[in-house]
Amino acid sequence: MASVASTVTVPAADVYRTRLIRVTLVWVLTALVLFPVLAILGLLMRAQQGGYLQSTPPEVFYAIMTLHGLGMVGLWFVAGMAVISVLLANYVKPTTAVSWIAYGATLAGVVLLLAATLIGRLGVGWYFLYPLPFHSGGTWPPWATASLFAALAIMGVGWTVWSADLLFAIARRYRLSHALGWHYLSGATTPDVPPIIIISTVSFIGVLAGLVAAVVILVLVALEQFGSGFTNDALLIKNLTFYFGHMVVNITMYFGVAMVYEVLPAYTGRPWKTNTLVVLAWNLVLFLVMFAYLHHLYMDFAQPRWLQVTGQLSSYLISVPAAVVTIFSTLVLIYGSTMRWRLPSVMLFLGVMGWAIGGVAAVIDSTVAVNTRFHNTLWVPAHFHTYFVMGVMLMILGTVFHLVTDLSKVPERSALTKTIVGTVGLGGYGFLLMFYLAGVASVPRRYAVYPAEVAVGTTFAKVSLIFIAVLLVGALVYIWETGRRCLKAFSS
Amino acid sequence: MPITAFVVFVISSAIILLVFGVVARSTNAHRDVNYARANRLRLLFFVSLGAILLIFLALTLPDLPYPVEASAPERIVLATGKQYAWSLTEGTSPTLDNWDTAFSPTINVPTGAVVEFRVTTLDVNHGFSLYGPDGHLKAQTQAMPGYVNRLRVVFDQPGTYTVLCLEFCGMAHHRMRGVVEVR
Amino acid sequence: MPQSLFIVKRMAALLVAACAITSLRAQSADPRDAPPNEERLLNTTVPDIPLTTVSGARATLSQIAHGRPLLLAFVFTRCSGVCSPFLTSWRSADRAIAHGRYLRLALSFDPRDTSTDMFTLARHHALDDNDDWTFAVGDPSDVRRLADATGFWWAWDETRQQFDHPAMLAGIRDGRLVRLLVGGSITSARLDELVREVSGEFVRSYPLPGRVSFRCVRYDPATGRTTLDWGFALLLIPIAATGIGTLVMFAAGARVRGKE
Repeated sequence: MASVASTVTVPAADVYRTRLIRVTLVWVLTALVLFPVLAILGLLMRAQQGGYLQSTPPEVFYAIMTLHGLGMVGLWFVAGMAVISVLLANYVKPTTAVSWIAYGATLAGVVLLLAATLIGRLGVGWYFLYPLPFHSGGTWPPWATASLFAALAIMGVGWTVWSADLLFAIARRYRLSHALGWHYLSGATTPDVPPIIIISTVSFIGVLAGLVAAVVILVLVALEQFGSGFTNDALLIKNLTFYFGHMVVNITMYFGVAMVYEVLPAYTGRPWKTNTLVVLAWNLVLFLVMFAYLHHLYMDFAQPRWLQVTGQLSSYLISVPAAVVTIFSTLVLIYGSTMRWRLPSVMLFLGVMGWAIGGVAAVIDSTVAVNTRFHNTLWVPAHFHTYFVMGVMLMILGTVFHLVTDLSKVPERSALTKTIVGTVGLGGYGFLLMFYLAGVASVPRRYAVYPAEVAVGTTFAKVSLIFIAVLLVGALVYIWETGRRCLKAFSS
Repeated sequence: MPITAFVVFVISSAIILLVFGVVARSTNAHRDVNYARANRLRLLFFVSLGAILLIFLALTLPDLPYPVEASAPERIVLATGKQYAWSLTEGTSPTLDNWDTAFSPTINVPTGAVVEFRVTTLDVNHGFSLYGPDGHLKAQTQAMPGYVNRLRVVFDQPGTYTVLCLEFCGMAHHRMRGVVEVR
Repeated sequence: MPQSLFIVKRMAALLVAACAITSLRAQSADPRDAPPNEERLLNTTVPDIPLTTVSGARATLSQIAHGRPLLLAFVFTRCSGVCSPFLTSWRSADRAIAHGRYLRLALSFDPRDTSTDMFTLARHHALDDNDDWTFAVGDPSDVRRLADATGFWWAWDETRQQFDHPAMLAGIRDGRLVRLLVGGSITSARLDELVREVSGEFVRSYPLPGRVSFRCVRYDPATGRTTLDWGFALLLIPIAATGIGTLVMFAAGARVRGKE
């Protein structure tokens, strides 16, 4: 896999590849349908916060918030998994059947979640802190809580099997030390392990650890609900919850980054190979990502002080490999190159930039002294929407467009590219700016309505609607262009 | 201090935008990569970033909101959260049984007093937060079932301070409020 | 009377008294029967009353404390009830924990007690020659004021010719009541928390009493530090399980590779 061209060749037509591409296209089409729906739910939320939709009861807001959060986190995770698996097929052999199993499990989970939130009005949020699902205060019926946990369990099983299959696919070809690139540290360059393998190995280990944490939570919750006398420590469950949640979203981010490593070289005409720095960076990330979640618990004074300090140290430190290796190398890869600026490469480029900006906001908030003023204000959604909307979403969708354009052979039209990039860029950053400003103004997050003390939140929400509308225009153009390429690829 | 953090963020973002813009424009004129120079630049970036992070660690780690030693406070306020109200009392805190008669959403404290809030909850996680008369967040801590968190605050400015809930707790999360009158 | 018989009789009397006190509490609706409430009394100012120590010296509470925080217990020497076991358990718990600079004060509320009586009590507990412990008496009205400020009460029982009273330890710092430990038996864990509080160490969070199955952290009274509990082990399961799983997976992969 030495030449640039072969690292990004769309898999050649053969039965296995056809099957894999087919299931991936199904995933992509599903994502293209779900994404605008979930985005519009977000729009409705901001609209209510902006003082419109006043007749909507707050429990409906919170049910929508739950669906939007769980949906988006889940959506980008599975989209990342699907795209990664088709890129990995250049080197290893993921099992198509497992992808279908995961698809079925995800669909079942989505249906259960839709029922729980839209019909049952379950409003616990993504993330949710135990014991909230069991204290509805009459808002949602017990079946909605059961539905939530059933959905999480089914999707969890599906995603665990999927992650394990992908990791095993890597394991069938590489031994562990090679998959993590340790041989590069002693100067060896064979076997040549592409960055996507190293990043994927780190990612799947991480996601499996997160999923195990979710299993532990489910067991503990079940023990308390069905056992007699077993009482859970709220602090323990909180630690496990944030461990799981932080891991899932971080790994989603890494999937996007892996796509950048794999796909961008084709557009720059320069290779991006594994070297000592890449290995050091990603092995350090594997270690640090296990502790960074602690930055969610700074305001829990019951946590031991040394854990709080560990949280800040690991959160600060984890920015170094990202910035010094990946982001810097992205820029070196592009600088002065014969870069073909097409929609995929523009989106990947902007995605890395968004990741950098979101990262700065994240490191700032992971400072304990700052966190006392920013924790659970809108600064938090500001930074994670930066990571997601202007980071990983652009990376994944850029890669998707690259894949479906190659498969469908439908050429790109630069006018549409400019439209998409312009609207998404302007709309996206404008919408985010409203979150950041509101966070600085101490406006709380997860409020259906802003009280008088933080009335400025209503104004920020109103303004953000304009930007969301602009963003949605770009998103819809993208969805249309990608969707028709998908369908064409299907038929061919 | 949120303003300071925001300024740092804006400056950093501007630098990022600038750098990415320069790199994007550079593709108009092709040149080969001078890897030696690139790696020197990378080393410089690494050292600078490391230095910046270390400086911020040194500046901020001593400022943790977890005091190790403290003299006796002038007032101890028991802050109890419940779906969907805050109770601020001295002496006794309400329980689920006597909530309606025993809870009080307001409390008065003198200006300049060191007040210690003992924060807990009777049901789910809540977030105890104090908003000043200027609408800015002054201090916060989590209200966790089974724990009491102690938050020390000095109210330098007189006025009406609001307690808002800062951890999502259900359908009236946004309506939970308490009032601390500082005179 | 042989020493052992004396002790047995005292223990029997204690048991009877305990039962009597318990039954009295159950029957009576007298507010004095309710245990002192820490919450209600938190941060109240404690009067700086004059006392007479076992050596006959006269000084105020703050002078005896020498600026140290203090733990205060009310006792009386003719007590056939909880006072002696209470003092014993306090002394044992005190030995078990990490020491801070504070004064332990046992004060009699019985007007009949003299400093000589208190000296006898101190010697009985082998605390007469210990600078950290002080046994003292005071003027009845002063002692009453101090008792009221800390929630301590007593009532004379004609039948048994004994005082009814609660057993408690008051933590006093800078002239204010900081914590109250109520109960006849002092465990080292509870004492440790109280001592830390009284010594000015800011305990920024503490768990409420209640059965919790797996905690993350707990106090270790022997070392005086917070240590990790079984709950923390649960937190390590994800990393451990995934680590093992990854090794197993790659071993299996190697085997598959070997076969191909």
